[in-house]
Amino acid sequence: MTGPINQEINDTQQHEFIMTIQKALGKSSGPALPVLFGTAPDDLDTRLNAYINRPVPDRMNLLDLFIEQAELLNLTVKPVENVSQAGYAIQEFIQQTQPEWGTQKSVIAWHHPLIEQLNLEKNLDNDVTLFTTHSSPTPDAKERQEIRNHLLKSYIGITAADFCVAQSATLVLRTRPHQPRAVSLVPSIHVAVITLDQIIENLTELYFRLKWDTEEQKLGLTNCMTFISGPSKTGDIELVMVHGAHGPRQMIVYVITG
Amino acid sequence: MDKNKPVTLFIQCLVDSLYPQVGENMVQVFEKLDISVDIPLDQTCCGQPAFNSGYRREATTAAKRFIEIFENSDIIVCPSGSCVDMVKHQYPGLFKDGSLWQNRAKAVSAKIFELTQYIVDVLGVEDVGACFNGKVTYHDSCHLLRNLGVADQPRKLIANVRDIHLVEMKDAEKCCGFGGTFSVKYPDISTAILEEKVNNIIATGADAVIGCDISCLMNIQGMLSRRNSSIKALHIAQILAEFRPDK
Amino acid sequence: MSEIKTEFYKKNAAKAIKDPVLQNALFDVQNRLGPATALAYKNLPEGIALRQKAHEIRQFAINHLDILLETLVKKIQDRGGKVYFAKDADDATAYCLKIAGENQIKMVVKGKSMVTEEIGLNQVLEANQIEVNETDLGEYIIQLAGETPSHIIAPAIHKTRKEVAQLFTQKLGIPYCEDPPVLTQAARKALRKKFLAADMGLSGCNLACAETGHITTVSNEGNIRMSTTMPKVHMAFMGMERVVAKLEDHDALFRLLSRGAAAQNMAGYVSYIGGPRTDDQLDGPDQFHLVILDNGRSRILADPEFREILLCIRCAACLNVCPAYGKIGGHTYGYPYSGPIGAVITPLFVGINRAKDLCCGEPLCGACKDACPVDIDLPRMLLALRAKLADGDPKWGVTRTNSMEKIAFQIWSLVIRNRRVYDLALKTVSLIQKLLPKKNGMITTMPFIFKGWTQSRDIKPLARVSFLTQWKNRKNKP
Repeated sequence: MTGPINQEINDTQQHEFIMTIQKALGKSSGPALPVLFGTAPDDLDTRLNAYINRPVPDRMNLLDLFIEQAELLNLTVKPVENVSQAGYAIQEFIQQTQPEWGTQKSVIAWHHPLIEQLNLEKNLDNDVTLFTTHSSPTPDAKERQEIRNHLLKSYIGITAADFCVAQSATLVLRTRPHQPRAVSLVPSIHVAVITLDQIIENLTELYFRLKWDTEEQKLGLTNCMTFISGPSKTGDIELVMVHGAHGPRQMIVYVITG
Repeated sequence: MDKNKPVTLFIQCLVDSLYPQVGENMVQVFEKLDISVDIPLDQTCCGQPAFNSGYRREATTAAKRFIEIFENSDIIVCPSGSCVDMVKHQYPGLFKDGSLWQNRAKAVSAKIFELTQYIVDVLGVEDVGACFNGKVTYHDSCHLLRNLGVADQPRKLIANVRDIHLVEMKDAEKCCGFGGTFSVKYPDISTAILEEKVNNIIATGADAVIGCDISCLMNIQGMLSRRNSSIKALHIAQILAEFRPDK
Repeated sequence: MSEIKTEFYKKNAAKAIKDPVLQNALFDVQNRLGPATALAYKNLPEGIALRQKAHEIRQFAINHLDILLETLVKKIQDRGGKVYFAKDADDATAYCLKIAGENQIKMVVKGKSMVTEEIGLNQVLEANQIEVNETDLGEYIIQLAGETPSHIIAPAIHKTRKEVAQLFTQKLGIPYCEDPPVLTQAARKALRKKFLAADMGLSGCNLACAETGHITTVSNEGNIRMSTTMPKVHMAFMGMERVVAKLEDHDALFRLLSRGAAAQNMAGYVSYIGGPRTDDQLDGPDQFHLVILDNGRSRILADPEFREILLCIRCAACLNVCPAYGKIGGHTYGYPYSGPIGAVITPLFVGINRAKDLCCGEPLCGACKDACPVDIDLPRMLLALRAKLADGDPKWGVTRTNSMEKIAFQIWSLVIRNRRVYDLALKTVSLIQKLLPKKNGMITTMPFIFKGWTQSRDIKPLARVSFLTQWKNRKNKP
């Protein structure tokens, strides 16, 4: 789409734009300032260690904080002891709920190690179809369309998460192969499964870990990182809060504490 | 600081020409507190009306005059938050950085106080021995509240007035809609803002609304009068100068 | 380019004030969000000091805007995203049309974006036979109604549920119902079809992160996620100043933004978007375009007096506390940006003379400065704009608006310099006042410009003897 001439025009346009800004700021172009993005803090390892190896009682406190904050957002949080209990709870949840449109019950789940352990295929009722989003390494248009079709048929989307920020009841989801963004967005209900150790305290901790933890640095934010704090809502009509705008109308998070 | 130091009063143009009673009351309060006052007879205006309308050169003329008259005083006290804000926060910016005039402005801005600010924060007095039998409400003037941070001081003084009953109005800290020349140049908007304020005052059932800035009070009084309301708009000095018979 | 109607400020203000539905809606918004925001700031662990930190973060970003933008752009381009630097509104909309043409775009879905209103994007697309669907519920409502937004965060706040019910019955064919959940559900159903069928999604950008190379989008409804996930092409528009340097800068800013905008801890959805779908991913747009817009911002940047206004994060906290906005509503400002932020930035964008009523038509109460999550000194800049209107300014092309007023203040400055002359002036005014009608001792009508006062208020006549004269007489008594 962008040929060599277009690229040159683009580059010139960028150059002129930046020059205008530099002129406005009264400075000439020069090397980037070394401290623009911050140098590693001295207590980096101590802090990371404290975060990553948080003792269980502290983790349980964060779970309580998460539950407390979640209530304000109409977000349901259900602690369960282990993965199989989570699986049963989700199965029961599917039994008890109905699709927003139509009668066919389909559910779509991320292809993810934690979700595999839920053993959903084994325990679902006969009238429920389970789709998973396992894909080939470079899914072509046909494959992606198929997944999209499954997505549109499904009334529940099941995902994992990278982190859960307790202070604002926020789930953090990065984008990876086999884990489409739309699963947490298009179906009427979003079900998320996380483990206790994924609950962190606040945004400060989140950004610190994303920025300085070498494991997180490898992945980076990815091309799309999403924060989800409860089901969708709007107050645009007379400031009356309505849950269920364009994203999911309902959201439930299972926290595996064992 | 010697608490009984004499103070120099900047009366404010509106008090001087429209509400001299307030000036009188202010003098009485200082007399009660055993503080002698000095009132330069040359004073006129701090320049705020010109400044808020964008006429900086003209405001600077007023500022220079003010500085000349007041810079030799130790302490300047004024019954208007907006004037104090003008002198304190805007005067230095009218002059070139590092100039002599700016230094003179800074010197003056360091020693000017609003009336209630001076009585409560500097003198440490919260009870001046006043008495007022009636239900009152209090309006927070914008510059006094937001630029000088004065909110508790008037309320403390009012609370200690014997027989007074203070009722807070809804949105006491909301603007009354005066805004200087705004009130005549954008009368529809000014009136709409003022109406809400006056309705909130009336809703308290108070006999009087008290304030620390005569410009707000003039605005509020204007509409109360138009509505034939019996509610009085009083400057706090008028309340504080009603002294208890036994003291 | 958005339509400019700033010359009708006074007329539209009067109209707005007489509109009881609008008055109720504005009162409601301010009554609910104004005090709640103040409380939300106080409840921050860091308290209101966090606003000062946010100010420094944004100031830093503006001061290093050239480097930050270059960094941001390179990272996005490395991920396969395209970036276009648009000088002005026409440049930006032309680029959008170009990409739409290259991709045979017939229908777009759009998240709420002030910048796209500023450049008049919808009109340009529609004029080129591209269907535009606003997806933010408030924007959707006013699009159906053929109106413009009246509030930066809640664009349809001036519409009652009754009006929305009538609108939806008429335009969507649903049975009449005033219940907001039912109306919302109807919009959800109608827009879902559009999300799934749209070829292109358009969004704004809340605050890009230079360090990581992402833009961010913020919503509660999920409409921006839908618009930027489902269609093949995503184009985001960004005012060039909407960036922070470091990832952790978002910590303070997102927490403050959510509190400032809607008194919440955190908005429902925040997305960091840094490029198109990668080959190994199952969904996401195949193309990501970022349009970075100048359109008058570099001129503001070049003026140290006004550079601070570029710190704004468009949260509308100032609208929620402004007494003027609270009476006149957003349409009065005649340009997409209303309230205190509009009063400063609109004149700087469209012409200070042209928008003079915006920066003179408020009482300067200062509530906006207290409410601003990044602690922008809006009153200072309003005063600076007024000074330019009073005396003209060649740099900004401002001519003096009122020669008579200038002369009046010049005379005033001579009079206040000399107490004797001043006393003479007071005597003269006193004499004139004797001719004016009174009731109970209060003047009820004043002439010329002063009748603005007496249209709704009385005024006390000058005292017979000024305080200083009384004082002088007292001192002179033996």
